[in-house]
This record gives sequence, structure tokens and C-alpha cells, in this order.
Amino acid sequence: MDVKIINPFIEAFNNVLPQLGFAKVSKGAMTVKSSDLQGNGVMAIVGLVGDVKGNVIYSMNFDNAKGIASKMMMGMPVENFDDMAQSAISELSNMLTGNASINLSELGTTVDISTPTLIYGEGLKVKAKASKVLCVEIIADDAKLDLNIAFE
Amino acid sequence: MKKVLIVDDSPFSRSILTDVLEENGFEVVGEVESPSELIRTYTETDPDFVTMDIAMPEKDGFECTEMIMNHDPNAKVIMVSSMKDESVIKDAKAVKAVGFVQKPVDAEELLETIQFVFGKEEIFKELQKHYVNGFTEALENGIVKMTKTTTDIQEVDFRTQSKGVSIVCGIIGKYSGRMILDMDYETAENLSIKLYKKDVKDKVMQIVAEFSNVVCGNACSILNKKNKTFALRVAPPTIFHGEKLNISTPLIQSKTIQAQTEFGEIVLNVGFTRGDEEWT
Repeated sequence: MDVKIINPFIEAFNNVLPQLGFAKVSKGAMTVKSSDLQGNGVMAIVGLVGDVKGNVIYSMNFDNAKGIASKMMMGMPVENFDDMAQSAISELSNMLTGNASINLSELGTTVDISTPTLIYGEGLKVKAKASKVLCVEIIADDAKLDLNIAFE
Repeated sequence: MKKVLIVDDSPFSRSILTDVLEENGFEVVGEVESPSELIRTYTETDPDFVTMDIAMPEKDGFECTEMIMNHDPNAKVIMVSSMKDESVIKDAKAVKAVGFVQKPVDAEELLETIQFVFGKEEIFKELQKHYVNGFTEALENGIVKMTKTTTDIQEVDFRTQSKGVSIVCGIIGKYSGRMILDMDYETAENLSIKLYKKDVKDKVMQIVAEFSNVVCGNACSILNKKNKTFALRVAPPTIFHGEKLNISTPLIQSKTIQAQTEFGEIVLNVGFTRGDEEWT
């Protein structure tokens, strides 16, 4: 997997998050992981099929998920990770991946994206169908989330 | 005959649109020139679609479209305006208009747009009609052919709580969607032993993922045979597992089926979204 493939996805954060009210978006550490991921909290997954094939998984802990959902709902307080918050995070993953697919197409790589699926809980274990998973930490104001890219 | 409501402040534009539409077999059930009468007329006439001018004095076409969409989220509004540039198209898409025709109205362009809007709708309805059966058939095929055992499959209500192992397969095509196969650890292990026919050790997750991929791929090809324009394809499966896993399905209307097998219960949830209208 070419590491450059990650740039259209990072660009998507820079394009989409300011529209949702985030002032500062930056990129944290980038790591290469095996296909086994773990986490507590929320994972939103979107499939891609086209010139490349795989999945993008956005993962974050509950506090960050609630913080991001709150920001997306104009600062409305989000106490629990309820239906509204779940819908917001799903929509976010949809917007980010949609934007990334446009960025990819500008580089000559065409992909279509699936409907997002949201999985949440404690002690989540994930096995992606990829030999390696590229992981980038994204920091948006005081919220943090991980962008995981698993391409075949 | 499809019913149309025309929203335009100019009597001249309304008369041209009425002529074009009526000549081509549409019934113009109402004409609205100001927002105050919009929702009342929409409700009374119950149109199949609306043509919407943009530049109007009291509220513009985007605001009027929002009023309609708030009243009826399934409304189909086609913007008809002399302005057509990127920002106008973006605004039209933002208020969920389904098409755009430039003034002066060209009959052929208008008819093509209407055909596109309803063609897409009809194909989506066809998919909605068939997909549960397609996935039921594929799950049954998968179990019966790959494990040589029998199964009983029924439609059930969706449960947000996972049994432990959830395999997610994204679906891409004319409409996007996704399938989730859910089972407990014991079922996953029993199923994979039966499929692999030897010691599975740490391969359980990979084997059930491959099983899910086959079921989802098979279902998509059953559906593609019904209508090749569905053009459904499957993204690689991702396995989520854990004792306390929840699955959330906002943004999608989905159906759930449950297979009783000798390995345990296998639950399949699948749904599609209509997606963004690809008009420009």
C-alpha cells in the first residue's frame, strides 16, 4: 500500500471539519499497524470499492465522540452517546469519506463508498482485511480521533 | 399520469411550463406564486413532483424547497431557473432538490430530468422489493452448500446489541449499503470448524469473514441478475468482536433475518440508501 494514498483522506478532514465549526485541524502521529486493532468507544466504518478496495475506520473514545457530535450540532450538549450523536458520527464518516473519494478522483483514482456502519462498546477488537493498516491521529480543536486505512 | 405542482412567481414562466408539461402527458395540479400558499397547495394537490423557480420576491426557491422538504421529506423538487452555476447547483443539492433545468426551458431537457428522477426512484423501489429475499437466499445457499446442513431463516427485529462477533461488508453500486453478519463466539467457532474441516486455531475470524464475504457477494449477484443496473459490489469484510459491542444503524433503513443452524443463530442485517442524486 502506497503511503501517499493517505493524503486525500487527511485533506478530507481539512475540508470538512472547518465547515462543521472546528477551528484548527492538525495531523498527529502516523503509525503502521497490523490488521488487528483494538479500542474502547466508537468506530465508524466505510467500505471503498473501485481502483482501490478496502475500508476506512474512524475510531475515537466516547468523550471525543460526544464532543465531536456536540460541535456538529451547534454546541448542543451531548451527555450520552445517544441516537442523535450516533447519527452525527455516522454522517461525519460519510462526509469525510465522500470528500476523500473526490480528492482521490482528482488524483485519477476512482472509488465508490458504502453506507457507514457504526459500532461502539468497550473492549472492541477489530480485524481488517489488509496486511497492514495505516493509522493517523487527527486533532481537531480539543478532540482527537484516529483515521485507520485498510486497503487490500 | 404524474401530477406536477409549479412554483414560480412569473405567470409567463408558469404558462410555458404548463404547456410543455401538459403536451407531454403530465397533469399540472397546481400553480403557486407565493410561499404563503405553498404548503396548503402542496398538501391539497399531493403532486408527484414540483418544479421550483429560484428567484422569487418573498422567499427564494431554496427556502421554498426547504419548506416542502420539511413537510414531506420524500418530495421531489426540480429546480427551474435561469441561473445555473456551481454555487447554485450546490445550494440546490443542499436543500435536496432532485434535478435542475435551466430557463428558457427546453422540453427535451425537462423530460430527461423527470425521467432520470423517476427512473432512479423506480429502480430503488425494485431493489427494496427484492433485497431481503436475495440475502435470505444467499445466506441459505451459504449455509446449505458450504456446510451441508439445513437452516430455517426468518425475518426478525433488529437488535442493537451484538452477540459478540460482527462482520461488516460495505456494498457499493447504483445504491450503497452494507451488510452485517452477527453471531456469538461459539457459533463462529462451530461454523468455522465445519467450513474449514480441520483445526481452526486462531483462524476463526478469518473464516467467518470469508463466509460473510461469500454470502454478501452471492446476494449481490442474485440481485444484479434481477436488474443489472444495480451493479452491486462488495467491499472487503471487517470483523468487529468483543463482549460488549453495539451496532448502530442511523442513515439507513435496514432489514434483519435470522438463521437457525446447528451451529447456533446467525443474524444478518442489511440495508441500502438511495444516496446522493448524481445530477449536474
